[in-house]
Amino acid sequence: MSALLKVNNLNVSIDDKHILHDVNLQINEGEAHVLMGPNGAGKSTLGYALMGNPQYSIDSGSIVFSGNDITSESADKRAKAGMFLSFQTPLEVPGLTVESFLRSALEQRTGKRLKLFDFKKKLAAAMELLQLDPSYAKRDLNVGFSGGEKKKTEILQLLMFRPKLAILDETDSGLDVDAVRLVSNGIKKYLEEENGALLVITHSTRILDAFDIDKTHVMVDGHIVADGDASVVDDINENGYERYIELAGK
Amino acid sequence: MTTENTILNPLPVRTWNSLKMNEANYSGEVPALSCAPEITKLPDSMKLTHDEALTGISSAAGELSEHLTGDSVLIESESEASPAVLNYNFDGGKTARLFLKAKENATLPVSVIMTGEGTAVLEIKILAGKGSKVDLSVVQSVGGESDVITDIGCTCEEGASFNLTKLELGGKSEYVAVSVDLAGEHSSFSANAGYRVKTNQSLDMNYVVRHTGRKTESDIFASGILENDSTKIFRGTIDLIKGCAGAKGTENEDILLLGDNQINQTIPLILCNEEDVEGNHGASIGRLDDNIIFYLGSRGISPEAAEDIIAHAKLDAIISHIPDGDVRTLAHSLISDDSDGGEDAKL
Repeated sequence: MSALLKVNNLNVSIDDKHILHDVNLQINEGEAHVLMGPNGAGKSTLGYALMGNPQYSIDSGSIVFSGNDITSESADKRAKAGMFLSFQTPLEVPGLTVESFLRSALEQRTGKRLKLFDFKKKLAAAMELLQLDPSYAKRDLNVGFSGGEKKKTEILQLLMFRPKLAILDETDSGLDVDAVRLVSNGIKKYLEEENGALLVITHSTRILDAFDIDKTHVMVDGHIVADGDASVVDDINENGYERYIELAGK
Repeated sequence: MTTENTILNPLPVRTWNSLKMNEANYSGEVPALSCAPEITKLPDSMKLTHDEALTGISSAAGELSEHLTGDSVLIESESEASPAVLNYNFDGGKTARLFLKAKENATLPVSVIMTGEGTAVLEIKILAGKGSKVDLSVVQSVGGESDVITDIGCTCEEGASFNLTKLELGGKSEYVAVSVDLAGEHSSFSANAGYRVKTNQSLDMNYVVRHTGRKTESDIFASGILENDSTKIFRGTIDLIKGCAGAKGTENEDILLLGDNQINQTIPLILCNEEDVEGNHGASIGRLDDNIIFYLGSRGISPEAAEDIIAHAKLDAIISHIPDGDVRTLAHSLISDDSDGGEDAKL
C-alpha cells in the first residue's frame, strides 16, 4: 500500500512553547492508526498541526499528503486534498444551519453545484444512521447541541465529505455507551464505503472496538515514544502509561 | 424639491453632541414624482384604495417627513389574510406613500420590494387596530448611486402587534426612520433589521419606540455586515413613558466587519419615566473569529468563502422572518448573487 500521510521530523510550537518534538508518522491508504497518550501529551496538537491550524507554528519538518508537501498549505486546501479533522470541541456557528453548511462545504470542496435531491437523500441516510433527528439539519451548526449531538454532527460531516484520511480527536470523550455505538457505526460505514484511513486520537479505548487497528503510537510530552500493533492498546489498558512515561525519560 | 441640510433621523433627546451622532443632515432631492406600486399579490380579504391617507401617525424621520407629499395607496384588512406583495420601482427618482390599516383582530401581512435607480423615498404609515397583527417586510434593493429614504410609522392599539422585517441591500446613502407608538395595553413591536453596507456606502438608522400603554413589549434586533470604507449609524430609542407600567423593551445589534476602514456607531438609548419597567440593550461588533475560520477551513471552506457564508447566514436569519415565501426566495437570491439591486430585484 502506498503512503497516504508522511510526517517527517515534525517540530511544532505554540506561542513559542515547543510542543511536538521530531514526530515521525506514516499512514498508508486504508490503514487505521491509534495515537494514545496521557493528558497533555500533545496528541491534539498533532491533529491541529496536521490539519493546518494557523495558531500552531511548524518550526521544522514536513507533512506530505497524497505525495504532495502540504506543510505550508492552508486548512481549506488540506481539506480539499482529502484530510478531515473531527474536533474534540466542535465550534458553534450561529446563523449557519447544518444543511446549509454541509452544502456550502461540499460545493467548495468539489467546485460544483450540488444536485439538491441527491444531497438531501445522502444527508437523510447519514442522519438516520447516526440517529440524529432530521430537524437538526435546519438548526444552527452545533448551537444548543449536547456534547453527544456535537460529536455525532462531526461524524455526520465525515460521512458527507468522505475524506481520504480522517483524524478523530477524542471523538468518544463525553459520550454515553449508546452514543459511542452510534458514532462507531458512522466510522465503520466510512471505512467500508471509502477504504479511508484513520488516525484516532484517544486516551480511552471504547471507540477502538469499532475497527481493526493496524498501528498504535504512544505520545508522551510531545514525543512518540512507542509504535506497535493493537497489542499496545491492550498493554496500556492493563498497565497504564507508566512504562511509556519512563521511556520519555521522566 | 431640493433640500439643504434638512435634519433627518434625529434622536428624541440630543445626547452625543461632541460625536455628532444626534441626527443626520440631508442635502439632496426629494422627488416630486409619485411612485405607484405594482401589486404582485393582493388577497381578496384586503381592500386597496388610492389617495386616502392615515393621519396622526408619528415619524422618526425629522424635518424631512414634512416634505413628503404625493399619491398614496391605502390597504385595509378586516380579517385573516395571506401576504400582499407590492413592488415599487423608483427609476429616475420617485416618492411613494403607503398606508396600512388593520382593523380589529385582523391580520395584515405585507411585503414591499424597493427597486430601480434614482432617489427613492418611501413613506409607510400603519394603524394596527385592537388585537390586530401587522407583518411588514421591506426589501430595499435600490441600485447604483441612489439616495434611499424610508420613513415608517406605526400606532398599535390594545393588544395589537407590529412585526417589521427590514433588509437593506442597496443604495449609496440610505436613511431608515422607524417610529412606533405602543399606545394600547399589551401591544407589541418586534423588528428584525438586516443590512449589508458595501464599499463606500452609508446607512443611517433611527428606530424609536414609545411605550405609553401598560405591559407593552418591544424587541429590536439589528444584524449586519460592514464592508470596506462603509459607514453605519444605528440609533435605537426605547422610550418608557410614565404610565406604561409592566412594559419591557429590548434592543440588540450584532455587527460583522469584513475588510477595513469601516465607521460604525451604535446608540442604544433607553429613556425611562416609569418605575415598573424593564429596558435592555446590547451590541457586539467584531471580525470573524479565527477559530471559526479554521473550523470551516478544515471542511474545505476558504477564509474568503467563510466570511461570505457567515455574512449570508446573518442575513438569512433576518430573511426567515419574511412571511411571504416568494419574497423570501427573492431576498435569498439577492444576497446570493451579491446583487447591486436595481431592476433585477423585482419579484
